[in-house]
Amino acid sequence: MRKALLLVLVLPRLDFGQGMVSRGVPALPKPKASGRQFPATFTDVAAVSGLRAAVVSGSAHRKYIIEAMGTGVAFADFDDDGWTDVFLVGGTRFGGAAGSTNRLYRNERGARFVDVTAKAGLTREGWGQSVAAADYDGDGLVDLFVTYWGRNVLYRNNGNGTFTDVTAKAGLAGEGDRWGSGASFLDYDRDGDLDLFVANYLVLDLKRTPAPGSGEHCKWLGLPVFCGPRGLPFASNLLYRNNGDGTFTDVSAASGIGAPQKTYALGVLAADLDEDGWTDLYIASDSTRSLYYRNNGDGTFAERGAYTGLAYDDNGMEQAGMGVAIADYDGDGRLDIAKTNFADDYPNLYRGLGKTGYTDRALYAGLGLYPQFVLWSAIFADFDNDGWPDLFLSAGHIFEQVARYRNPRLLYWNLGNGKFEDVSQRAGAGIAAEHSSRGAAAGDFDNDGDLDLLVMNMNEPPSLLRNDNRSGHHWFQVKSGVGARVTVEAGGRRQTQVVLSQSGYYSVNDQRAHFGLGTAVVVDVLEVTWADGRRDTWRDLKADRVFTALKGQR
Amino acid sequence: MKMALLLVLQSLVESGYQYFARGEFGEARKHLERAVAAQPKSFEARFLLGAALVELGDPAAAIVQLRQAHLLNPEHADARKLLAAQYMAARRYGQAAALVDPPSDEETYLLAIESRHRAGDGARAFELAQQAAGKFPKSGQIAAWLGFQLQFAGRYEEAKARLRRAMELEPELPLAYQTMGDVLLKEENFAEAAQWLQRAAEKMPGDVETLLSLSRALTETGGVQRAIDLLRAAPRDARVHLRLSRLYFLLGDEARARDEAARSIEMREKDLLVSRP
Repeated sequence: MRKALLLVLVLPRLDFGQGMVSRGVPALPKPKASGRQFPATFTDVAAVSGLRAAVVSGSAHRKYIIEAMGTGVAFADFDDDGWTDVFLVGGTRFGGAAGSTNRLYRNERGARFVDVTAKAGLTREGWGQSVAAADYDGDGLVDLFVTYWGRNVLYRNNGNGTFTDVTAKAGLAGEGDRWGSGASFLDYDRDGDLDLFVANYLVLDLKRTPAPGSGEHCKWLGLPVFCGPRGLPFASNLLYRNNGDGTFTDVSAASGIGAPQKTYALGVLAADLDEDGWTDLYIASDSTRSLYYRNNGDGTFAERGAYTGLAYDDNGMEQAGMGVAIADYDGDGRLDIAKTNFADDYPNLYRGLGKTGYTDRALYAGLGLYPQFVLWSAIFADFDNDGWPDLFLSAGHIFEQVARYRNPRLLYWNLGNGKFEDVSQRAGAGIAAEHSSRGAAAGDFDNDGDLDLLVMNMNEPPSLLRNDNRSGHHWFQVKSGVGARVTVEAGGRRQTQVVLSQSGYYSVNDQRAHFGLGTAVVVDVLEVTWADGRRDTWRDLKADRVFTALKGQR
Repeated sequence: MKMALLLVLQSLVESGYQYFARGEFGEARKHLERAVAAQPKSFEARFLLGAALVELGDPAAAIVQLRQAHLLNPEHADARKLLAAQYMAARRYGQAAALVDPPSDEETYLLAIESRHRAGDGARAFELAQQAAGKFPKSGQIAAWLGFQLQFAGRYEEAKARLRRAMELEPELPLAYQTMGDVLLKEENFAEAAQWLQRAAEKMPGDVETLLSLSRALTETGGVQRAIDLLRAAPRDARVHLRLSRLYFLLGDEARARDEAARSIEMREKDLLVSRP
């Protein structure tokens, strides 16, 4: 009998009998605290600031997976007045729901936000998903691309407080309805204008989708839940080349992006991952391998996630990836990637090794404390201005019947030694508050020199978490352009960031690259490498201000 | 008539058992299948047929017979254990756990710990391992499983103590060596991890988990080519191909890396078939 008992020692756990993969991992013990005081405190000021409308996204009794995925948010300065505005993607419910629209809030000098959705021409009901923000037409104004389960929409910023739906005119209407998930503008051909990548999650056909609990992919821990993503048909991703005249051409097939990958794509980021000067793409995939499309520099891409270490966990298993963030968290000059995953798993912290790919350092870094949470948005941001990017993670379960639906947010403080300290319960009520959150973005909405947070909560108003940072550290913000790689040298340290049109989960961070400088009062060197590969350098710039970097100025 | 049937049945079960005892499982199967056909409600015939099917490597058919045997005699501990083990082999961990939890003896504790662990109920697995360690302090396997649970929970020092105890009690227990290697991998003590994993690999030749861990330890200590050689001799497995692809890429051979990655992806795709509503 003993022989029979030992047949199955240490087999990997594979949850093919349910819609989402997970690893059943436990919470790791908290390491000894550093003893240092985290100096930033977050307070939810959404209501007093005027962000009072709930973001509609599915009903309480979720029958289909679309009702669980939530939406993205954006911090972006649409009227170019120097104050970052707020855009919230709206979802809906089957049968419709009052108040279900995207919303644009104009920032009134950091004191309050005014809902200008209708005036801006942005009222739209539908299953909104993500938002990407960038100046696609080169007129100096931030435009918007919003993905839908349905038809995606490109809004051109008219510069007078209004937007125009130019989707069809731009050639982005596509054929039929799709489930657009993450999206990102990028200059993949380095011709100076921004092209567009659009991920598609899966094919959701309500007539062909089994009822909750009705199949092997419609259960979670043995209980009936909505089906998917496993078991539902795959979709392919899209790449559109900007023609430079306000229109785009679908180059999905020619570029290799459209090749079937059999993955469920969600969060997207576009950055030069292999440091060859060409912008690549990384896509977090739900319950399947994540994708790394390397830009070959000739108009084509090669998918190389598996052998660069970015596709699976360190045990070679699929994960249910959600959101992605990128930063040089360890100060070695290379970009690293954080990825969030579904519950019963750890997030990933892929440390960049240069030409040899990535290695997952999440557990070593101390990120294995809360596997019970479903994590969505990941944001690298230096909240205490000490020069080391911290990590914010939004959380919220999707199955109310089997787990706590509302969770606190997670905030990990970068200790500057490759490790993070969990400060989630000592960073103010705004972080500790429990919601079922999805998209999130960081930005300095009140222009006080520290980074605040905007968080989407399912069927609730968003959270606007004002950061009151008492560190006294200095800072420096750089306004450049999407796709730029911005490096500052100050106080003997070199920090690098990339400006993204979308990251985290479906969301847009303030596109002013924000650097904490610690005690340094001068930026010795600022270097901006633009999306088209050109580079400009500035020297000896005073701290504690927003600096506008113009291409070719230096 | 009834007596004659019983005699036939008895004779078939007896001959089936004899073949089983001699390791002639194919012959045993033939006799026992006839016994089951003659008397579908014979616990002995079902149980022995299930056991023969296990030995013949047909777990799906074994489960059918063992489930019937269990229904005919729910109190029979060996039938319950063997059925639970087959459920685990078939990755039906929840069903396995339901058969053996709460556990009663050392074997059911072992099955319950492992099935709970694999079903994602780490808290219960840990609780059972701790309980079992109190009840069976001389069991090397129990000590090894508690060490495994402690390792899984990130309690590395406690894990190492338990694993050392397991090795004292049962020096040939592969799980203890493998888990010790994994603890050291997590502590980034790669050289020492490689030594323990090498010993585990000698005790469990062809065990994919051990080989993957060992390849990682070798890679981190500069032995990329050794790791490749090790994995090229390993059983074909999606994760072995994935690891090989990573290693070839580290050596700068992107073409082979791509090939190995493609094999790994292809092997996984059978699990991603689209359901039909």
